[in-house]
Amino acid sequence: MAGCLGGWMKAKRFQARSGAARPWAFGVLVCGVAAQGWASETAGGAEEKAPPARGAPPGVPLIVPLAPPESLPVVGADASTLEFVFFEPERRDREFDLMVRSQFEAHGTSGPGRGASFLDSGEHWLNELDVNLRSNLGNGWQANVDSIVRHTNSRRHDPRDFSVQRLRLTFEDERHRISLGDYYASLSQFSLNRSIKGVAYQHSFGGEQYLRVTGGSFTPRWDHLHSRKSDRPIDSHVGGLRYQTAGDNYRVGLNFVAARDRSGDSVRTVEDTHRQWLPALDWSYRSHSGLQFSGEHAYASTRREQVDGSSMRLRGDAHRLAARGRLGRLGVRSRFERIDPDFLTMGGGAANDRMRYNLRTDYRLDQTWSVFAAYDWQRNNLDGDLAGTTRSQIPELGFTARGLFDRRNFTASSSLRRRMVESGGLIDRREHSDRIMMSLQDRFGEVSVRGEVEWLLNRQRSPQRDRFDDQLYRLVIDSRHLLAQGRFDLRPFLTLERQETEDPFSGETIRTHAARLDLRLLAPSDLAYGLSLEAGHTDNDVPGADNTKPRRANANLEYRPPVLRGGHLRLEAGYGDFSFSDKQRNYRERYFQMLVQLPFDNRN
Amino acid sequence: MTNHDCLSLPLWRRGHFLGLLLVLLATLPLVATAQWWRFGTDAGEPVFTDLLFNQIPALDAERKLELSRDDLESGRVIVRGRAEIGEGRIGRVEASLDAGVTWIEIPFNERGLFAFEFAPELDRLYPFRIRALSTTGVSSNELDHALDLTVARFSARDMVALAFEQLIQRYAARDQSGFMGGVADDFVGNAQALDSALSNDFRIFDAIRIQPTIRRITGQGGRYQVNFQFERQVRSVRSGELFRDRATSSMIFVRGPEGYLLHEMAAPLIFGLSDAAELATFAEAESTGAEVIHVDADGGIDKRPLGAPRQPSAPAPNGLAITNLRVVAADDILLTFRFDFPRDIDEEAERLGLNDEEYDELFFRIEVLLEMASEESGPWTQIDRDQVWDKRIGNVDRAPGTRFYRARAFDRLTGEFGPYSNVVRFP
Repeated sequence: MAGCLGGWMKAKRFQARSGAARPWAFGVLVCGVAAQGWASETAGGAEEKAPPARGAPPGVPLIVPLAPPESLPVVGADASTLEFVFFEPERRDREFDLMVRSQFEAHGTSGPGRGASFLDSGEHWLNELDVNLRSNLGNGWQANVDSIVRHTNSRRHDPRDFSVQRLRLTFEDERHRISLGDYYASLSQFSLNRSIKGVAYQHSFGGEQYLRVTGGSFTPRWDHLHSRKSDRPIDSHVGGLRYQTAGDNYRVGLNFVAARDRSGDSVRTVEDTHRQWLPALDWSYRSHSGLQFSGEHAYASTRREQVDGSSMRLRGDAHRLAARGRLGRLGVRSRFERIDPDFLTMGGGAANDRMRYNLRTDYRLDQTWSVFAAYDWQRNNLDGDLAGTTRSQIPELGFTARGLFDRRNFTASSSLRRRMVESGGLIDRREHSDRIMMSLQDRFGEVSVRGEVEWLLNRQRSPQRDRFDDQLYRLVIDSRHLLAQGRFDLRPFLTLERQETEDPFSGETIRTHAARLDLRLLAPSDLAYGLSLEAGHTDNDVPGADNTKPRRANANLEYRPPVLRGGHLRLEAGYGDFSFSDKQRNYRERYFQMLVQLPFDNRN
Repeated sequence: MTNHDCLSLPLWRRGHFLGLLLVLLATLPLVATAQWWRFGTDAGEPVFTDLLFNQIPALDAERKLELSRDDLESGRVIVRGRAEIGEGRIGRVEASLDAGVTWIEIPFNERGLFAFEFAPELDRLYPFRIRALSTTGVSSNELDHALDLTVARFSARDMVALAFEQLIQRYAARDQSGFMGGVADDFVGNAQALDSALSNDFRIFDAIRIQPTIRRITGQGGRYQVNFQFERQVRSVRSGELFRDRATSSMIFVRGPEGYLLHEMAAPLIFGLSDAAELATFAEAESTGAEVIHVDADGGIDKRPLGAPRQPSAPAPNGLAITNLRVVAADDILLTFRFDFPRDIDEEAERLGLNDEEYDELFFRIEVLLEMASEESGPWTQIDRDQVWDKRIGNVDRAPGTRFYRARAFDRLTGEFGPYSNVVRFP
């Protein structure tokens, strides 16, 4: 598989090409990338190749029909396919990729209220070195080292000046995989589903059948392993194993996890500590009708040592069941979950003391119209220990119409959703909120337009006002224009928004108007220019509240000169003016940002 | 019908009834095969009921399917699927990678299952089409699964980072429908609850600014965890007050047809703060104790220390400390204050199993005393007293001009006073 290629830069290129996202003042800092992939074998049984079809025009890849499978594989978020990193056949025995990434930001703030600025005055550096080394060890074994080292002078980016963000070493062949360092320990949702620092071994028995064993620390940072700094979380360790077996259309996983917090951790003395063991069984099955069922059943036994010296034993179980699929025109998604109040998971994910079921169905009436209905219900206080129980329901109905009036891109949709919450016990609280949403969108040549209207009608029984309503109106215009025989690509994006919100305490109205214009021009020679303008105004009738008037602007330039061989340069400058009716709160912001990203490898 | 009347029906009964009905509806498909409701009035028209590109379900993909190089299986895309028909028989399945200029016939079995493969070039767009024809020549609608297919040169981690960035952009732009397009159907905290929480978030605060710094992305089996530090600022719509915080958190992404989708969120949340207790299914241990933006049940915003993942049972260092005193409502005559207090009277009563009389004793035992002054340096005059249980002082007479307010707690049983709170200047 391909190796380390600049994450942030490529994400930006990807974004620019696909037009999937708008330019923004700050980028997401994604560091280099180690090759990941999975050599999963086709789970749909042996797929023998039929003779290739003929007739594909030049440039179009040949579609090769395969023998029809007997069943389809189980897929989705629970599909824990194997993850092996293999070299591409043409690759060398030893390869490396380096990515040097450097970002400089200068922030300036002024005005009497500058203390409230989002920016921190001064200069901020962020430098990262991303190293990925791969080596063929012979006999089918490969080694991979993957690390990111960071230096920064800014606490906006990291609590430490120098840090190791990622460090991972893997050895693998077709059946075995050994990982050391940063590892995403993914056993099952309830048992273990978290990044750890430690060791892992996976043995593949073929297909999707494997044994995975892992152990390590939950600590999120490498320096926590040896530092006594106060921001270090409680010292926690985990060990776990998973055995998975699978057939053509089913998969079953057996999981066992043991985890413990270190008692008497000197850094975290005011937190309870826990020791637990947790077995879990997860499964999924794809029926011949096309519906896919999945579930998990877990039990946790936890000993809690409280800071006052006492201890208690908590035992609880957790279950989840889900079904999804499409039957002709009918789509169904359904989920049930019950988490015991005493079910704690130190490495998995679950909101305890919950019973919830959720169902969503959609039905395509014809080529134009489709409707959907959804319903979510949940409650807590499953063992009745609490004085009151909170129940909530969210029913929703809606429709979508595509291609009305013989316009292929015309889409109209609307939905009505009610959220009802009832809390019993000492505080009797009942409230419901109706959300009515309507959306229309269409495309006129190179311009697409989307209008949205949303009302939120809130009713509640509380000491404050019992009804207050909010409205939101939004218009989005997005377009793309090719200029100078396609050499320039101009992409304007305009958003206009008006919102009226009623304050539940005073009943006064708050009106917000906002406008945002983004312009992006893609020019020859891998140059891209961006301009973003944003203005807003809030009229707040609530006594004592301020009216506000923010203005922001930024311009940016991205350039990929050939001399950088895939490298990237980005410059951005921005200005913001934030005015309030109380002049003492006014402030202004200025910033400048420069990003350079330089890749190196030994392939050329 | 008054507002209260419409809330007075037993909610849980309605919930169970409606839920049971819907569950029954959901199970109907299990016992039936080719009923009218599966194929509507066009039972003679074939439909596709499964479509997988390698491990990626694409049946509900709308117009675009973006794969990464990591999604390929030995450089190939293997398409598997199923064609069905309500009345009649499937006679032919065909696929095209050039928008229907060239169709290739695909063999299928008696259950309508089929498979084919091709080796795409990276970064090239393929206008994919697929259709099934009945033995009488009725064709499925080609546009139902007309997908612009691309295989990006980027790795899965790049695509995860892009998905993360897009979610933040859409949230900051308060683009709710765009945001929900980046959320997995089986989002662990419940997608419908997240959608509902976003509606509330966007009414409660605006001018959202989030600057994330990704620390690392780790992945396995199509799931990726993004660990990041964030710098955030939001403005309260109601008060115009700015809130800013900094912490570390995590999110988990899974593969969807158009990239990676949000599947799980850790506390502290950066999305859906108005329903944080429901949406976060684990906590980022490093942020325990960090002061983060919190939204209460009434939509009030403040900053609170993030609780330990497993709540500490120790009492607060000072059980009578009132903090974060603030004005939450005001008109020309009256003011309403809220404050933070380390003890929760109702929780204590529940934990101790108090009866009504004992509860009343506890309820009336601790009071909050509100003081006012014309100058911050004093002199201070006590103007109100109330019980602390709801952490609120309402109906306080508003004095003309600017005034300063502070509060402290008083234990009537022991005669002990707590320390003074912060001083609030109003207006």
